[in-house]
Amino acid sequence: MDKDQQHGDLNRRDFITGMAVTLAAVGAGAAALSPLTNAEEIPSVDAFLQEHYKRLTAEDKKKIFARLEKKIEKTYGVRTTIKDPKPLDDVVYGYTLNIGRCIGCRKCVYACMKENNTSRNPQIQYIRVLRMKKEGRGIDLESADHDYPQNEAGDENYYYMPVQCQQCENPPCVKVCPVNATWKEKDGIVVIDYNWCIGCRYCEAACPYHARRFNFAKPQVPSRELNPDMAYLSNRPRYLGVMEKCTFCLHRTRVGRYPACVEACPTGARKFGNLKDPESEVRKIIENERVYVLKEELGTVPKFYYVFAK
Amino acid sequence: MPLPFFRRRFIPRYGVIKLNHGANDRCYNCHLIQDRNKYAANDGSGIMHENVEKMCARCHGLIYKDWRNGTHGVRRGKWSAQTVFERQTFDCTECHDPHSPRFQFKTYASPPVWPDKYIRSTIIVTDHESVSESS
Repeated sequence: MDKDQQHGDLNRRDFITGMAVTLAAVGAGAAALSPLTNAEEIPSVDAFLQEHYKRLTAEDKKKIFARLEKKIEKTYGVRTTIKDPKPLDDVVYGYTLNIGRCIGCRKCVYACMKENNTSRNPQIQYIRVLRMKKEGRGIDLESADHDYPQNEAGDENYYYMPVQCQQCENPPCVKVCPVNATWKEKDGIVVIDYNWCIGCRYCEAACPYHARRFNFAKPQVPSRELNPDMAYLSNRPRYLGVMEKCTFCLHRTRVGRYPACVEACPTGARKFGNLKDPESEVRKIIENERVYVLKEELGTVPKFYYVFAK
Repeated sequence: MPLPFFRRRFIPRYGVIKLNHGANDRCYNCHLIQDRNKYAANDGSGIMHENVEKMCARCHGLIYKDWRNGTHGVRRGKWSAQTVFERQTFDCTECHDPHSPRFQFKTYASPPVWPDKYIRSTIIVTDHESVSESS
């Protein structure tokens, strides 16, 4: 017994304790690494080394879009084309919404979900319809609620105010992004490169309108509801852990069409057009009607105008 | 891609017209008594159906102003319309039945589905109950 202790310095109790500690450490390490080994999507080398959107050449884009299309066809079984429409010259998009005529029917919300391939479970909706009582405090955002049930819509005692991305001229979300994954395009639309976003959610915290959404879970879109008309910067399927936001449907508006929410609105409360064209719809409305912007005092200069009209 | 044609039209079915236009409950307030194909203007002259908004503007002047400005009413087509064929505008009687003009094309959609922790609190529920009792 004495001999053992002198020579080895390792008795039975120490040995067992040491083994237990080692096993526990290995187990904890494996548990810490399990998100990596269980990850559903391990990005390919090309996807991992992909450059920022602004530094891509036309050839790079062609390759990347082909890779994304292939992946979409593999996961959803739908043949799609990913386009990359460029901002038009002499165009700055503007939006007006007539609060006097909005009935809070949420048609725009669901048309947007369908058009932009947002996640159905958990739900991601770009538009929130706020409801405020007309009598009393009027347009008071603090007394607003945005999950009123369906049968309480269309009430004449309430104002309904849909809030979505206001496409600010001076966007706070762009300033805070640590990796420049979001930026303002030439035509005023704030876009995100979903492959470059690291999911830090600074922009979600910075946005005063709560217009940005985060993919907390893997977005689930039924393949028969997938919109095959896609653009790289707007409505291609998103990944787990990236931000997304309204882009005024740039895959539609940059080829001259209206956004999906405008086409879905049954009362015609929503109007869309070019702010630089003096003959456009929105310019006429802004010049002739009672117009205000949301949270003007923050200095974000939104391009989304709310109108009080009949 | 051809633009989808958006149709919203009331086909008048004679004999089953029910008048529900508020205080305006006399036929010849709107229809011209001498010529039933026309509508009545303020000076007694006729308005053809193509200019029906001028007849409506006799009472609903503010809405007419907003319709002219482009706020009231639906637009379909393209925002960058170069020709009249690329943009569809609507006049009064295409969305409102002139005999019962309350807006009919309403269907409401369900609220967003939230995780359990975001379900509306009891305070707001009691508020709604008091609202429904008072109204």
